[in-house]
Amino acid sequence: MTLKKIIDVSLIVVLGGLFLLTTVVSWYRLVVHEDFTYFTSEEDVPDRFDFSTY
Amino acid sequence: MDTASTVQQLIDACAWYPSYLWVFSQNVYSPFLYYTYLGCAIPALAIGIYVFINQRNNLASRLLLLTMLSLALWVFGSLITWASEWPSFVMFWWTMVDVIEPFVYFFAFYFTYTFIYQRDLPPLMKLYSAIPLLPTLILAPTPLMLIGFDLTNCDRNAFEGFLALYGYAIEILYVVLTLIVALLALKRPQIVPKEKRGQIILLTLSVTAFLVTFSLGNILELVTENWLIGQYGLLGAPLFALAIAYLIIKYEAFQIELFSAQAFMLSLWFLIFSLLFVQKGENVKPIVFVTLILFTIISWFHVKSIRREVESSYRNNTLLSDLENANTRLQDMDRTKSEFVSIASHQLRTPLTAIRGFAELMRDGSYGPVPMNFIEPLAHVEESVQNMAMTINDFLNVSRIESGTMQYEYTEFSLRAVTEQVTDDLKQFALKRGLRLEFHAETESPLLVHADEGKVRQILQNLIDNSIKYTPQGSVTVTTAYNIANKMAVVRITDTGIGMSAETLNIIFTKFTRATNANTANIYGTGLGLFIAREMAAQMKGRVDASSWGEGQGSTFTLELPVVEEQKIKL
Repeated sequence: MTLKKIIDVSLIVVLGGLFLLTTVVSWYRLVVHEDFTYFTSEEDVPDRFDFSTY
Repeated sequence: MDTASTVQQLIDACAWYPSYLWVFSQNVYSPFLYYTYLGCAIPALAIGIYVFINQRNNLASRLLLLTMLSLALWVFGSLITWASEWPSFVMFWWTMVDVIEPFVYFFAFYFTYTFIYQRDLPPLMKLYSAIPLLPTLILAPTPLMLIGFDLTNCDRNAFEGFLALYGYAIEILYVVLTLIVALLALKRPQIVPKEKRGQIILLTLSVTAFLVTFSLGNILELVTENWLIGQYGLLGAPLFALAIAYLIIKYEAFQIELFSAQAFMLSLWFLIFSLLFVQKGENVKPIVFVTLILFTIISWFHVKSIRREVESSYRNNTLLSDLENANTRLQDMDRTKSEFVSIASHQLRTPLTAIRGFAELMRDGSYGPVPMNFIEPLAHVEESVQNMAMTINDFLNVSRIESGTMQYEYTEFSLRAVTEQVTDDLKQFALKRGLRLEFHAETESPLLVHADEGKVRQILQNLIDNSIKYTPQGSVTVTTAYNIANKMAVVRITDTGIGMSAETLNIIFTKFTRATNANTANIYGTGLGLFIAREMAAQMKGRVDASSWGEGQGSTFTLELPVVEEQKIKL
């Protein structure tokens, strides 16, 4: 198997697999479990660059 | 963060409209802009599918389809986030839109590279350019992508996290990469030939315009917090589709040649199809329906026939180009062969001259008395060497004629006198074979001609020698005359020899061809003499012909040369 083939197959498997996994996990988390935060006031919204809040 | 009941109260208070089929709803702010999304995505997807169907094995067409498919998926996800009344659905599709978006850029970059360079991305470059996609893919389900749902108003928005911004950053990276590969290709003429520059520039501009408007919409939307601005970002997509269509029509990009015909037929089909819904009168609908069926059938056959024509023309062009290449190769080979023959013949001639000379000296007794039993073998050696020398001369002449290097020295001389001399020279040879060789002049005129005397002698020697060799008994008569009709001096060599069939007459002037009965008559020859004679005569604006009543009926060979015009010829 050439390097090109190894990289091609790996990319398809990794990118395709991660895309499917992300879709399933996001669906499970956001739709099935509704596991996300509702913000009712602007003050509650954390700074997106403040990683300690995640 | 508020309690579940407060959230539910706020959601209930917003009283969002229910969506229909996920994407149709009254919740959208700007319905006109909202539905232009479909107008952007459908032609882009259609062109991607069309190119892919026509060129399934082409990597660029597969990547174009992936670009358009990811764009269509992005549009579909976007429409749901606009239309849905369920916050969880909005959150999920918003996440997916942010995941898919960098893929649109990645595929567009990858497509541009393969289209320009006509090959796949180098493996490591492909790997490095795909790596930036991984963080988005891995972390998308976390709050890093979407922090939460905004219930401060009823706009159904999500707060985007750091990862969404990262997504926008790698989009810019892909735009820059696309521009770099295009510019590098344009800078190197060995990669992009001059005639392809127009295609590359158009493609690069359209891809860049598509991606930049897309990114700009998203960034301006984020900065201004005006969601409507972002929606204009997609207007680059139909421009991109239009550019691809133009590339196909103008440059036959992707080797698609039927695009205009198919697009025209499809447009008309949609027009007739739409009449089914627009026409109010019930009695008109069956007519439109029948027209639609008929049009579908006719279009099918029409496109099929155009495809056949195009394929046949493509095949013809390929064959023509193959033929031209083969012809060039053959010419090269022929030239090489002529050069080889010329060099080899020159090299052979020198030792032959030495052999002939020494054999002659030995026979004459220059090296002392020769025993009687040596005389005949030495005569055989001389004769064989002479034959060989003649063959080599023939090869040399053919090679000169074919390479166009034969030199002619034109002078004015009497054809009659030259013919007489040549005939006299060959009389001994004819006598040896028990033949009569006679010369007649039908005109008293000297028959002045303007030609190469040496070549004319060679032609005459060839023709008379030929006649002697092919005449086992009887006579050979050489006659000079003047042909008043075409003002040509004529030398006619008539023999009572083995004659020729009509088939032999047709091929006798071809290289390496001899009379079919020549071998049975055991006559030495290369089959080049008549070819050389005719070619030389033609160069001097004359001609050599042959005629015969058939095998065993003798033959006549004729040399004609134009006479010098000033002379008065008495017939």
